[in-house]
Amino acid sequence: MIRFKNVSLKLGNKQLLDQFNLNISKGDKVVFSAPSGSGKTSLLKLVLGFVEADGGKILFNKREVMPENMRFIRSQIGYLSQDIDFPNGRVSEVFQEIFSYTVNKNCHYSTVRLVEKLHEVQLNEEILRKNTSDISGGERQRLGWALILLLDRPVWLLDEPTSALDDKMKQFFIDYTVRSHKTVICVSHDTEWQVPPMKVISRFCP
Amino acid sequence: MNTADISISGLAFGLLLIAPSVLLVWQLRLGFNRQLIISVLRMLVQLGFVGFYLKYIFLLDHVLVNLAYVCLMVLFAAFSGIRNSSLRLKKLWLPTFASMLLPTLFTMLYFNAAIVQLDNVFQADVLIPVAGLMLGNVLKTNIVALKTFFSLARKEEKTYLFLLAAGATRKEAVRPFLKEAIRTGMAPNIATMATVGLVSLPGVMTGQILGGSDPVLAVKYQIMVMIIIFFTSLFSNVLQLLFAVHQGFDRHDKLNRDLLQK
Repeated sequence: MIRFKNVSLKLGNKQLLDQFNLNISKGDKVVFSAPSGSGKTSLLKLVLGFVEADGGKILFNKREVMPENMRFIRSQIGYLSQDIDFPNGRVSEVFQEIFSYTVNKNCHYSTVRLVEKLHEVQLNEEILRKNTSDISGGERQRLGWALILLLDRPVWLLDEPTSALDDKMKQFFIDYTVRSHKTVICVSHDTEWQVPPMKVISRFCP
Repeated sequence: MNTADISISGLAFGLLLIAPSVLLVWQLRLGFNRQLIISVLRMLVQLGFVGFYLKYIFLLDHVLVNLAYVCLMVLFAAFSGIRNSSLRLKKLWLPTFASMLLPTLFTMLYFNAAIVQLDNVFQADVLIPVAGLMLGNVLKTNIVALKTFFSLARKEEKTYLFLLAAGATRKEAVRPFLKEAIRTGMAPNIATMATVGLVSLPGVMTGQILGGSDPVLAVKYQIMVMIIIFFTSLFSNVLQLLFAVHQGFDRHDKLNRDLLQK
């Protein structure tokens, strides 16, 4: 499903990846737990085409990560960035906007379904009227989860997706992810993620 | 009703007011006397020329000359806009020119043909001043919008990437920035329409009244002028930003940073 082939990446003057190889099959679940600054986030960004590798290549479903294929590749990915960077605006409008994108038209999005998901992630529907800049980190993270649950894409790239959650919620999302059929790459310091069938990769630096 | 002429001695009396100004600036150590004098001289030379050649252009009143003159005005507007924008917009000068020229040309001819209903829609003494009015405004609006757009795109890059990952095309992902940029650019136009006449008499009206027009006619012109200014600015603004979206990003959908640094 996702394949890193001899990938090298240098940011500034730090060699983050050197001839890195990794093969992730469909349904595999991987958690990166290497120390901060070791390039975990960059690995996710490489797959999304936000960062370009200095060498080697990355294959997604046998298609190479390159500008021509990015629309397809991104349409297969549910991505949670570290800060869940929602645009400024009312929560309800932000969701409306995201689901108006051409590739998301087939998601059968409706406010009813959104409210359902909000309840699932233990958010009150009052949050719909709030501005994305006025909500707490924990709420933001749960909203991010609600988004990727609704988008229901086959691959999840998660960057510290439980850092702002209490233990109960954390466990809820970990259980959900572990039981799902998604192909998952998760970057997290939370040791709770290191349970089977998650494969733990704790070092990949040269 | 004719405008009272200003004689040479009258002009001299007017210019005389510069002297106490210079004195006061010097006394208070404001330190801009040099710029003040250069500015006054530039104004005298530039407007002197304008008065001189507009007189001939109006006399000649030839379609091609009139249109060429308007194009030249747009060209100057585009260049001065780019220079004042603190962006490195060299690559954007052609789109800037086009996005200023097209809406201006359209509105100008519409104004002459449908609003004022002139027999000759290319009549120089309407075409040129009206184009000038619109351009001044379009220039301000476009620069504010462009600056807002690029500074947002830079500051909120993470949001842009998050939306790309959520499935947005580049155009869909920049929509929040576009909206904000257009709103910021157009806000003064809307505010001006709402307050016109309360605080001060707007320029067109003042000019016409001084020129001996009936105040009601002056008001009619003023209203039409505000509407065409708004219309042109909005369309020019949107065009300009669409070009910016097209040129401001590379094939990886990333912001073209070399457009921004000066």
